[in-house]
Amino acid sequence: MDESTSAVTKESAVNQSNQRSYLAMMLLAFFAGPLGLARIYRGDKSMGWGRFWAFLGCIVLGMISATLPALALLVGLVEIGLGVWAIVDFFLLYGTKVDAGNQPLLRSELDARVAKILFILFIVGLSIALVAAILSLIFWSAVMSSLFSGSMHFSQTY
Amino acid sequence: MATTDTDASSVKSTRVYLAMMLLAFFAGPTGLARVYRGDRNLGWGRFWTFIGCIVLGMISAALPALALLVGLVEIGLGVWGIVDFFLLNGTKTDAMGKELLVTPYDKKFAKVLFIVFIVLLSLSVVGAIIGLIFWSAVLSGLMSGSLRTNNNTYNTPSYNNSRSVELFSASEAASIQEGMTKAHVESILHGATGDCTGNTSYMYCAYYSSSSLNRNSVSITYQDGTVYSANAY
Repeated sequence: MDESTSAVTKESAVNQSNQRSYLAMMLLAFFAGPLGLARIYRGDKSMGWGRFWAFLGCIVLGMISATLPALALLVGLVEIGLGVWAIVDFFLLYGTKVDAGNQPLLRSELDARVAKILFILFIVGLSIALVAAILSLIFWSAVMSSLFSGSMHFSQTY
Repeated sequence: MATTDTDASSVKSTRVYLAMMLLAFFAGPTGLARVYRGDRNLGWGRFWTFIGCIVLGMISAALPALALLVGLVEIGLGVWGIVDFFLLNGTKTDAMGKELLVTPYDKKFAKVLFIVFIVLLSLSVVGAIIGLIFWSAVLSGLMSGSLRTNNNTYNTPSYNNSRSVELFSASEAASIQEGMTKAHVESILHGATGDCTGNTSYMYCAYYSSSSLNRNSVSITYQDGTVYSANAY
């Protein structure tokens, strides 16, 4: 019995009503990472729901924070935090073999293969996002520095 | 029920109902849920069509006909994704006829997913209808505005253009007041003002003095032979 199927044992079959799918958890981590739904599904209720409500709170506060720069900054920081947490969590969950109740997650060979593709896609997406972030940082710093030097030039002219 | 005979060999290729539904929920238009279920041709066909739309969408900016085609195909994939979600929601087997693995916990989770899907779909439909009403109102407003502009006698009299000196000064233009007679206005502007009768601010004639260095302008609306509104600028 290989590793991917070792999770499914006679014992787990008895308790299958509570068994959770590894692939479903990874799909939730992939598509809805910042919401913490993967943690909720895994059974980490308090951590999952905490992140879920924090995310919803950010959306609601984000709508009313247009006139409050301090609140907008806070919401932005929390959203960045949730995003980074989701990325870290994806890698943590990828290596997980059990749920919050220490029961093995159901993982067929097919599911393991799909999860591996998901993992590669996640890495590729993350790399592209990172490159885009660096490029936009360089671009905007160049724009800002040229604007800054331009305004200094103007003040000297006048 | 599929959950009763899950020995190692059957689990090797077992497909999970919730995983399929999550793919249909998050990646419906790509057809990945069908790929996972085992409907390879249907799934991969939709997947590559979707990727093709993304690639063609990037290069179709300069080709309106291609952009229209890509848009229509994307709408089609979107609608197909929605319909497929409901079809897959009622599915209990994979493409080979083998039962999908669904635990009571997953079933509960899938039910919540279904409700969220319905709510989001309803919100999208409401949003689309509101957007349609808004944009049709904007477009009809623009259309009627452009028609009104066409009917206006927004003109510059020819004798203005031919003059090389100022026809009227800024202070003369500013002295034109509501209620003045047409004859009075024409004496101030040193020329005929034409027939610029109307009862809204859109219906007016604009007059320009001819000096390119110090150009003065005034727009006038007449009603019943007197100035209804006048704006010097």
